[in-house]
Formats: sequence, C-alpha cells, structure tokens
Amino acid sequence: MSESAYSIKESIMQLPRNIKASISRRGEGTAEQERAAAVFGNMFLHVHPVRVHVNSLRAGYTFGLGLISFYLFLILVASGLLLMFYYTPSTELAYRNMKDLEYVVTFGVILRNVHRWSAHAMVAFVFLHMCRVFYTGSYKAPREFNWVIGVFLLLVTLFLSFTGYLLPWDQLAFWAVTVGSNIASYMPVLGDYVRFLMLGGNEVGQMALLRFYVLHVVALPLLAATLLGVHFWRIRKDGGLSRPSND
Amino acid sequence: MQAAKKEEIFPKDPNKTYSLMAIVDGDSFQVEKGPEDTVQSWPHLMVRELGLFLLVLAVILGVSLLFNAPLEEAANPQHSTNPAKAPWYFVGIQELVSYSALLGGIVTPALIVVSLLLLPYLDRNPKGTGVWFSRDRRVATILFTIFVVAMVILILIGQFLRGPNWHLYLPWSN
Amino acid sequence: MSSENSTGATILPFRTTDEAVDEERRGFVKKMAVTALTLGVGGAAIQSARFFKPNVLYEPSKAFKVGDLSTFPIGSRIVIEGRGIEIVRERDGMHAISLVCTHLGCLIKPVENDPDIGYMCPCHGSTFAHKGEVQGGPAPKDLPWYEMYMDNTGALVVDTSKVNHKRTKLAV
Repeated sequence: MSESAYSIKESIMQLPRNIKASISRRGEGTAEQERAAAVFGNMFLHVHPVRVHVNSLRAGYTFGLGLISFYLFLILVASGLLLMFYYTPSTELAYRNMKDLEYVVTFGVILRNVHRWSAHAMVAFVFLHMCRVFYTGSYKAPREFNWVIGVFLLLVTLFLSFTGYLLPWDQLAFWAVTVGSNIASYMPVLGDYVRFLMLGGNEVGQMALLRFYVLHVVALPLLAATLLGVHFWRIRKDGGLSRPSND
Repeated sequence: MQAAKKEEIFPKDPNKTYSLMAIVDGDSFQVEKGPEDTVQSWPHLMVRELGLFLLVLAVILGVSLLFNAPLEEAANPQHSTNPAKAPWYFVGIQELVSYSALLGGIVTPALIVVSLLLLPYLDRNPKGTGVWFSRDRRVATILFTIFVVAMVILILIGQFLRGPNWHLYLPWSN
Repeated sequence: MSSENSTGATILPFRTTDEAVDEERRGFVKKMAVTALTLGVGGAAIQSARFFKPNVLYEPSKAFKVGDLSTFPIGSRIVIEGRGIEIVRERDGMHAISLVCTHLGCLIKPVENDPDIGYMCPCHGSTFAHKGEVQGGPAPKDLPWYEMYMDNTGALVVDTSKVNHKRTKLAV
C-alpha cells in the first residue's frame, strides 16, 4: 500500500488518461497482443475471432454479400427508428404523415428514401448472399444449421419488407396487402383463419395497419436481430468462413 | 471410459535413424505468417469491414438523394389499381398466382422454403466446399441455377411485361 | 445398493437386467414428463393465442340498405360504392352480385356493352359472365349472389353474410 503516492491533485491531472485506460483496459503488451486485445476486449468486436484465415479476406470469394446485408439491416434500424418519430399507425393519419415527411420534416424525404431503398437492397443482397453460399457449397457439414438459420433470416427479411409495405397507406400498399393476405387464405384448412388473424378482421383496415406496424417495428426486428446473433455466432462455432479443404 | 485411439502422427521409418542435431535460438519460419495462414483480425479484417460499411452507406445515400421512393395516392378500398402489383420480390409469386392461386401462392412457395430448409441435410456430398462452381457438384449447381433463373424470369415478366388487366404487353408499346 | 451378491458370474447378467429395467423406467418417466410439459405449455400457448382474435369488429354491418326500388330502373346495373356489390335489375327481377374477385379479393370492374363478359378483374385478368360465372382467368369460383329483400319501410336490403346459392331473383 503506497498511500503516500495518492493525491487528489494527481488524480485530476491524470483524469483523461485514467478514463481512457478504464474504457479500453489495455496497456502493456506486445504489438501483437494489443491487436488481439483490441478484438476480444471489445464487446462489439468480439464476435470476430482474434485471427482470421486469409481466405476470409478474399473479396472475390464472398463479395462481402452477407456483410452488406447486415449493414443494410443496421441502416434500416437507424432510419426506421427516426421515421417512427413522425409516423402514426392510423388510417386517418398514416398517409398524411407520409406527405409531411416529404414536404415538411427536415431531411424527411431523404430518410424515407434511405429506408425504402435499403429495404429493397436488403432483400436483393440477402438473396445474393444465399446464392454465394450455395455456389461455394458452404452449407455443407458442419455448417448445415447455419444455412437453416439463414433461410429463416431470408423469410424474416421478406416479412419485414411486406409488413413495411402497408405502412404508407397508399394505393400500392393497400392493394398489395389485400392480394397478399388473400393468397394466405388459399392455405388448406387454416387459410381463412390465418387471414383473419393477420388482418385482425375481415378486411384491410385500422386493425390490419396496427398489426402490421407492431410486427414491423418491434416483433420482426427483434426476431431478426436474435437470428443474426445466432447466425454470426454459428459462423465461428462451425469453424469460420468456408474455404477449400486442401489448403 | 474408452481409451483414446493412439495413432502416431509421424510414424517412425524403421529404415532411418533419428537424432536431434541442434537447438538454435531465433524466430521460426512461421514469423509474420501466423498459424494456419491466419492474420490478425485487427487491422486486416476490420479495416476492410469499415471500408465496406462506408461504401454501402455512401451508395444508399447517393441513391436516396437522386431517386424518391414511390408514393401513390391515399389508399381507397373502393378503387383497385389496375394492375395491382405486389412488391417486386413477390411479383414472381404473383405471376404464378395469376395461373393458379393455390399452386402458385401456397404450394410453390412452401415447396421452395421446405427444399431450402432440407437442402443441407439432403446434399451430404462433402466435396466442393469453399470453391465457386465446384466441378464435384455440377448437378447441384445446375439445379440451383435453374431455380434462380426461373425466379428472375418470373419477376421480370411480372414487373415489366404485365400491364392493365394483367395482360401481357411490351414495355415500349403504350 | 445390492452388495450381497458376491460371485462375478451371477452378478454380471443380474446387473445388466437391473440396469435395463431402470433405463426403461427412466425412459418412461422422461417421456411422461415431456408429454405433460408439451401438453401443458402447448395448450396454454394455444389458448393464449386466442388473445390475437378480436372479439369486436369495427367494420360496417353485413346487412345494409341500398335504397328504394325507384333508384333501380329496369335494365340498370348500379354499383353500390364501398360495399363491393352491384345491383342488377332486369325485366324478371333483381339480384345483388358480389364485385370482390373470388381469386384474390380485388375489386372487379363491370364491363359495359359486352354480350358475353359482364365483369373483369384488374389484378389478374379473370373475366366473369353477366350472371357471375367464370369465363376466363385464374378465378376458382363464380361470383356469389347475396340475399336481398325489402324491409317494412320499402327499402331494399342486401345481406352479404348470406349467399344466395340458388341464384333466385327478387321479383318486384
């Protein structure tokens, strides 16, 4: 115990350095160790292994398609959150909110564009990512289950996009969802019941808008985020990105 | 408890003699190479990831500044649009639905999803992992390509070749 | 613990049968537990799902007045806006026909001055005859006719919850 070394003056002098050190929790180590600590010492980066195979870095192998899908998801979460500040899930107000976003809200039109185009892009990139995984045979053992999670992520992406499609409450939205919900009613036995539960009634109206809104902004994004976490986790548990076996 | 299977990794050749020649102080031949051809995630992987994120964000922002998201007139349950089209990724399904609602709208999508889910358990051929269009799995590649091309063609027909009353028309004819 | 048995020759088969019985019982208890848990949790989950079924619907009534007889002259076809039906009056009577496509629920447009085709769906191109029979396209069923009657005030009422399967016209 070196109590003599402690002084309040010294603490104040050292304040910025001590705060920085308490956050990063790093210090003495070789360059190699520091680089490793940068990954496993960080909550957001530690999904990554400390070292990756050089094959995972080959842009011509993955084209970064999965990563692009994830980035689009992040952009969608951020822009969607901002859009929620100006949107009301009501048949009276929804369309007027759209017009407000277009003409009144600062950056509103760009925000809506970002959300809409990212959503289209995400569907496309998730599909392309699936094609990449198929053509490189990356769903084979031991990665079978991660492929299954990926299929569910594709479905969640499609549902997210479909539920979001109704929210502007314009003609495009109304009739696309009318047609979509009627397709569900062709399901044997349960069809009409599923449609009734999906719309919360017999026709596309206030209840349907509210249900689609709740699914779109809470339920499905949470499901997607959870599945994404498992998807990333399984990449490492299944031995990293796939690569030729004879290397 | 089963005894672990004992297997020598480098079995001794009885025709040879072995001896330790020397111990040298210094770096191994693996310096700057890492075990099993790996590199540090930071910075090699993460700098690339950050670059890709900035690229994605820039492209999305650029597109959003140039093109406005479509917004039609307010929903009116009394007048259906002509033609009423689903979002582009469902237009392929809608094209199938225009032939038969049960077959195109329920049976085909269900078949697609089920076969996608079962795919890794049916295709147990261990060859061809990690290589694009591996020659060892030509059949799988061809089948999947047929599926992708069919989806793309259906989407293109539905999106660009279907006009009022869902009649076929050519995009340049009015 | 049965440590009384001392000879190895008898113990070995005895133990194996003992373990086998034990395994069987454990398996049975495990199965019972899993079944009980599945039934209990599953049943509760299914019952809870009833929450999502709305018990009150704020939708327009299925039976509604469409107007007096004088609003529908002989030979007229009048679409009732917002209700998805058309009132057709001919010389021998009148009927109410659904304008909701039996394919995917798009609103059908009546076709004027065509001897064969009476209705056409804009979504997927189904066509129907004047009486509602499918003429072409993917529609699986004919357009239904709804029950129609005149109430005590003399107004015509259509009830879309009752389908007129026999396709009888209301004689007026």
